Amino acid sequence: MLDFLAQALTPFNLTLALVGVVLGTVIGALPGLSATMAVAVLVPFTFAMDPASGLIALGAIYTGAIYGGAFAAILVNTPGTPSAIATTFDGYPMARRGDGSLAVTLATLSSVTGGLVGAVFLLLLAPPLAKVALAFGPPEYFWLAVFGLTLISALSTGNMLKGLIGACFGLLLSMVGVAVVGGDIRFTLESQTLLGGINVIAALIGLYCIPVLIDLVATPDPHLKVAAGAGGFRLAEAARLAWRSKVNLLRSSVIGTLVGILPGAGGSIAALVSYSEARRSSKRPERFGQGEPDGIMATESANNATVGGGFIPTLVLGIPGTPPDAVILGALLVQGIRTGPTLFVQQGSIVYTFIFGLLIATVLMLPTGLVLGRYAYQSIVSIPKAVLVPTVAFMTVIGSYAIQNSPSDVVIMWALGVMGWGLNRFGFSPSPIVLGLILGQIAEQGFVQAYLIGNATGNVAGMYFGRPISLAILALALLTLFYPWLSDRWRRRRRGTPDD
Amino acid sequence: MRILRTLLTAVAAVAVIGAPVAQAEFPEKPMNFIVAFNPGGETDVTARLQQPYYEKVAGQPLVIQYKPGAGGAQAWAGLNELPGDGYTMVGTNLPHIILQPMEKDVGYETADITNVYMFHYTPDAVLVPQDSPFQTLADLVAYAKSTPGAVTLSGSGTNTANHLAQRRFSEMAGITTTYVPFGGTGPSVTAVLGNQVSGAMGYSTVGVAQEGQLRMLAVATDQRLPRFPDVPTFKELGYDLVSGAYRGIAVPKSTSEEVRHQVSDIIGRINADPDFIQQMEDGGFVVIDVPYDEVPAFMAAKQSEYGELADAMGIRKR
Amino acid sequence: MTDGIEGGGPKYRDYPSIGLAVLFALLGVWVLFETTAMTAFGSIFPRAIAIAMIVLSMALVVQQLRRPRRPGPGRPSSGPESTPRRVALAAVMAAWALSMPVVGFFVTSLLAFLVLLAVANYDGWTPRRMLLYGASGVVVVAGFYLLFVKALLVPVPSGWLF
Repeated sequence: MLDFLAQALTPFNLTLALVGVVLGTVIGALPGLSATMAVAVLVPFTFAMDPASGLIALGAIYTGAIYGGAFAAILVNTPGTPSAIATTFDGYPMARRGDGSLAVTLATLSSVTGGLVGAVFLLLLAPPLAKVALAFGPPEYFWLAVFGLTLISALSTGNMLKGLIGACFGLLLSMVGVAVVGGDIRFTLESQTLLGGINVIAALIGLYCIPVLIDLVATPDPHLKVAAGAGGFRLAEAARLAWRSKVNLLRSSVIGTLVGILPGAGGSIAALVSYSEARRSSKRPERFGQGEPDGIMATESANNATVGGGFIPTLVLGIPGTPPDAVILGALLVQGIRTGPTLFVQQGSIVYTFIFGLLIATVLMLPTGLVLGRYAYQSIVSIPKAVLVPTVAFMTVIGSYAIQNSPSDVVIMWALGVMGWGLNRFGFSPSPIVLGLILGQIAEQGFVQAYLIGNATGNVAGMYFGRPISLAILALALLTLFYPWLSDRWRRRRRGTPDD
Repeated sequence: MRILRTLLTAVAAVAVIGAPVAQAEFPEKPMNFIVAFNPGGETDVTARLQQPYYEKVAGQPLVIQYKPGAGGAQAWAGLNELPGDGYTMVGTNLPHIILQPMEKDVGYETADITNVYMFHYTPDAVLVPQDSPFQTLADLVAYAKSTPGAVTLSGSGTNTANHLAQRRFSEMAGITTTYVPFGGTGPSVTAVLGNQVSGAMGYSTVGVAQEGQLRMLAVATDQRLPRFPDVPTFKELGYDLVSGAYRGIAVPKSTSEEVRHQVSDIIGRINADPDFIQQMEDGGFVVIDVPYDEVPAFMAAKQSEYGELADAMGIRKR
Repeated sequence: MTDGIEGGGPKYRDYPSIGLAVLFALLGVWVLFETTAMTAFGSIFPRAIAIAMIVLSMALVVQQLRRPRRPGPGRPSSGPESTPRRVALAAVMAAWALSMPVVGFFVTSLLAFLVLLAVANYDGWTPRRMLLYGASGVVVVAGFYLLFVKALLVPVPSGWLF
């Protein structure tokens, strides 16, 4: 093992890890530039390297990009990558009230923690954990999506009905296009551009960023408040907060690793699930969504843990855990490396050198992230508003265009953004809509596939309610939904006070 | 220092774009290849395998770009608006470019696409988990005959190559199987590995990627794959099924006949390179040679073949 | 992202919410109508969601109607916020998105950038500021253009100009 560590520590590999993390962070911070794209662009360069170094470079870019997504989420309320959606919930409110640098530092500490936990799981437990991916069938994905939807109750502050209506609207938006199951062409309004459906990232940029821009130009106030005397990294304060929330950090990292193992779930769901869990177990759930540090720590540790988690099925089963993993798998194929259960034995030197490289890259994220984060924060704060608005607007346009190189995605982004602004003014917040949009396809496909399989084996009810993992997720969903009410009752009973 | 040199070469390669290099013949500058799907998919992988050979055969590097969306339709609908100078190529897939316009208005017709070469296909294959009770295709057929519908086969999407193959195979064998569509080959294979379904109607490439975890029962080729000498073809087992996902390379309509031939020649020479053939076969692909002059006959044959199937399945809407 | 309607304090009837609820219900009805032409598997999910949306929207209407009317003028006025600037931003971005494929990516983006500078500027224009902001526009647009087109190989629409 130690000689693999030494191989990962060669100056060349260290340089690759450092350059990869920096590039990845910058790319991830720009909305619309996803980790997938960052990895795909860099793949040809790795063909000239030996496989382990190539993998280290790609892994470093990937983990950096997932982390960089937090910058845009915190500073301009736009998830740079989908996995940073839940980071906007508390990150942006923190930045607005002047705690932007604290939020960025917290995100860095959490991302490093999550990344390390995911990579350690990859190092020590990859083959057994890959079985988790296989244990998840269609009904489990269906219930996982339902579990994700219970988060609406947390997100719809004010009026639960409006949150639920928004989620239904998001679910319907996710149905637009050609249906995977059934092959129907749904709700495209006879338009060819909608055949491919509504791109989630374009929708994210629109729903989260356009309203910010619209409100930004309406007043001469600065974009973010700057707390007096709160410059610098606020590293000590962040470290104290992180230490206080070590349980949250660890739990979220483990959730992130596990969800990352599931092909077809991904960082956004990992972050949402751990956010939901953090809120449920928090002593002050009402502060979530208002700028609660625990919220950022949960989402950022979870989404970086999916990097290590996602590599588990990629390397062990040859099934990409996340979209960037698909690109990396393709690169391995071209290099002539066969993934599979024997990879860890036959190509141990490549695999373990890579995993150590990933660990090193994750650690390097701490200094680079703090410096880059501080720079990003400083520039967002110090750029005059008149320049900030068109710059951010330009990023939304080029970002939504670059996802699929499609001008119609820019139009969709704009339309959803303006609509989102209007709806938000009347109490329909964008987050339930986004939640529906992300989870709709997973829920629908899981449900119908489970029905098809259940029907073929003559046990439809057993498919949904007769499988242990399904039941466990269902129980968690119910717990999340009724926890506030239950804990209220428990507390009352303990205190012995009558209802008032 | 190697990284530095790699980066410098890359920067130099980028700088070359647009700078005319005095050279007698086509191509004089890097060629662009647009993948109509997401990075990491099979189309991307085959393009990546070809990439180094462009340098070798044509003396110019290949730049790969992505324009995913609507199952490839986004890129194909925009094909004819691209510059027709031979430096821009788009990867095409069968049956996609035949079935999509049949089913709905996707912004292009099959005839709008000028394929200059069909260079390989990925044969359909039936795969089951390693611990499956089905040792041979005959076992599966026998079980499906005794309990109609109980055999579940996963595949990627509805009305796709996998779905078509499942229908054709079931019809030929006179059995009823349940097709369970997934959102891509990845999730579909995961379902088989996890024993969620009895098997997959997938591709031979899956047999390569998941070797040792999945067993291929039959493959839809004319002859056995060199990579899998023990896996029988459907033909040997009495089912006349030779099919799969074919991949070609198209240029915009405005490209001159001369340049079309030149592009076709380059791809033909890559296809003839023994190293390339070896790499493709290792990956489970089957290299075929349909140069520009033979494309019309090839497409006509495929169009009538898929057309009949589409009618039988009720896919044809227009 | 503060909630414009539901805050603390007494809750009053909110007519725009009722209007939106009716719109969502109508959307649900349209979805139900559309699903009649779909296969069983393709229609089951949208149908269930549409029904849920109609029921929830009706519940929202009832909830609002049971609240007391707001005494005095309708919504509290929105203070010193500038609606024309908001509309201008939305309009510029719409024009940006629509003309980008026709005119060309770089030119459209540069023009839109400069117009948005004017929309977002509250500090008055001095020649120095004009020069500085204008230059920053050129730098940002050109920088990102090069990053995307040359480094990330994104094929941007070139249109008439570039």
